[in-house]
Amino acid sequence: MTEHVGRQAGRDVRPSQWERTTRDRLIAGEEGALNEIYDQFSSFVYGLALRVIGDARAAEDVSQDVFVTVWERPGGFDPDRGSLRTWLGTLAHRRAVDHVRREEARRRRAIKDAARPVSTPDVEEMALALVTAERVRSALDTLPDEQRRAIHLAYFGGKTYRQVAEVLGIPEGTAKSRLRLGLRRIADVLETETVARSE
Amino acid sequence: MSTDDTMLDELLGAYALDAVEADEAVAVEEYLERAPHAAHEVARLRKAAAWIGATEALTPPPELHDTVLEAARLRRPTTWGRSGPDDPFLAAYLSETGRFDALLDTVGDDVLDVATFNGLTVRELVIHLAAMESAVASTIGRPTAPDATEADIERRTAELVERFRDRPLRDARALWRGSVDAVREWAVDEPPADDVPLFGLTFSRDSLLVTRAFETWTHADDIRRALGRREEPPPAEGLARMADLSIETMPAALEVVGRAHPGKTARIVLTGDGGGDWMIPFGFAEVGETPDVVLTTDVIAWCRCVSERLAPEALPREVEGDAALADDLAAASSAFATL
Repeated sequence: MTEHVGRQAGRDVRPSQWERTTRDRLIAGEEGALNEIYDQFSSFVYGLALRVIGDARAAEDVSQDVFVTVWERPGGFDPDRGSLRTWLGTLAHRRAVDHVRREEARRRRAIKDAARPVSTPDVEEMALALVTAERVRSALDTLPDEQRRAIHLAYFGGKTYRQVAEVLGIPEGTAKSRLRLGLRRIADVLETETVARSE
Repeated sequence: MSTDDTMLDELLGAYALDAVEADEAVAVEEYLERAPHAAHEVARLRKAAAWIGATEALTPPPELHDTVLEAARLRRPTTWGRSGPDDPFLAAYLSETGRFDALLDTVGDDVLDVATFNGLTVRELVIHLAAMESAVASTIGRPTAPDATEADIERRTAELVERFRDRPLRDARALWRGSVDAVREWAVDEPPADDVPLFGLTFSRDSLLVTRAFETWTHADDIRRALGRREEPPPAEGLARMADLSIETMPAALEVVGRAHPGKTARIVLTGDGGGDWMIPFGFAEVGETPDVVLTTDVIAWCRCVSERLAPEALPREVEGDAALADDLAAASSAFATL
């Protein structure tokens, strides 16, 4: 898959000053900036990679790869086009999915839902993030069953829409529209109330 | 909207979830370039996807932190020593070279032959910066291109343009980057020196770093302009160092261009973030109590005038006092500009 993760046009929330400053500091080679991003987003990146890949070792490799990319190519993040979270999520998910597709033969191991402590470098941001994640979780619960299953198979299962169609025994066009409609519902939820602030 | 576009629209959800084949991803990405509504939708859907990912947040093993930092340091050195708030000169240098590097990431092979401001193509301009930076590396005793023999700026650039003629841009970029790293290491390791010779002038450590930052910004904007993009001035802290340097050298500049007026005094007010307010003598003389002229202008416009990207007569200004003296200031500002 090609690496066009910078394309996030139409950002509807103004980038935070923190995001701009952090990007400038990364470009200037300031290690403290990388530390801050790591503290704030490592749970997000690692948790996502682990959920997709199902292997702790590989999830660590993907996380490392994501943060080293942030360090090496901070210019790839354009605050006017999308939030830092979206950029990191896109990087992490792409790499995780690539890993899964490369190692298709490998059987996924079940991950026990361990206790989930979260480090809190920016308490307010993290608190808002937790609240938002909780809202997204309940929004996922209220999605029509067939949309939720399709999204889970694609996003966490690393399957293409064709594979999703095959697994669910539905036409490809139906799989495509379930993914799109389901995601739109989540996007709608994110755009209501104060959630956008925690972008 | 064509049938093809409708099919691409239907793929947007799957694309945002990375659930398409590689060839489909390429098609969607081309589509996003020309269909703003689709780009907007993908941005929304990607954000939604990222938040779905956030529902799985899980603290990684503690040792991952150090592993990441070690790997990062291996790929690109971090700044140490006087960098940061207490070394604004090195910070300005690292900021501008970093921004230039990031800019090059967005410059495709298809535009390398586009002509820039001073007649060099984009490719040649990158090579010119490699020539300059490697000359600096050489003069501080950390050569990165020991076999480049020309000392004159233009001849050195021509020599390297010839050398890199049929090679990918990344080779010239690597020389530039390696030279920047050499300068950074020197700035961190060595005690500040006051006599760094370069192209017939002598620099202090701090003024050398700021001069290099200034030229790097100027050429970055040359490339942006040539490619029809918006210019991007430096952050205020870096701009302030460049403005400072340009004012400090004004007395010498006035002498060099034959516009010195011993006994006269100018007040220069540069407005905007990174600006300031200075009183300077009109040449090598004492500064007077009251100014004979007050020149007020925007700091970015002033810096563009200094780097010869704006003609002195085009410098937007407010003048109190002797207008001819203000013309002298504008005309002398670019006395030390290079290319």
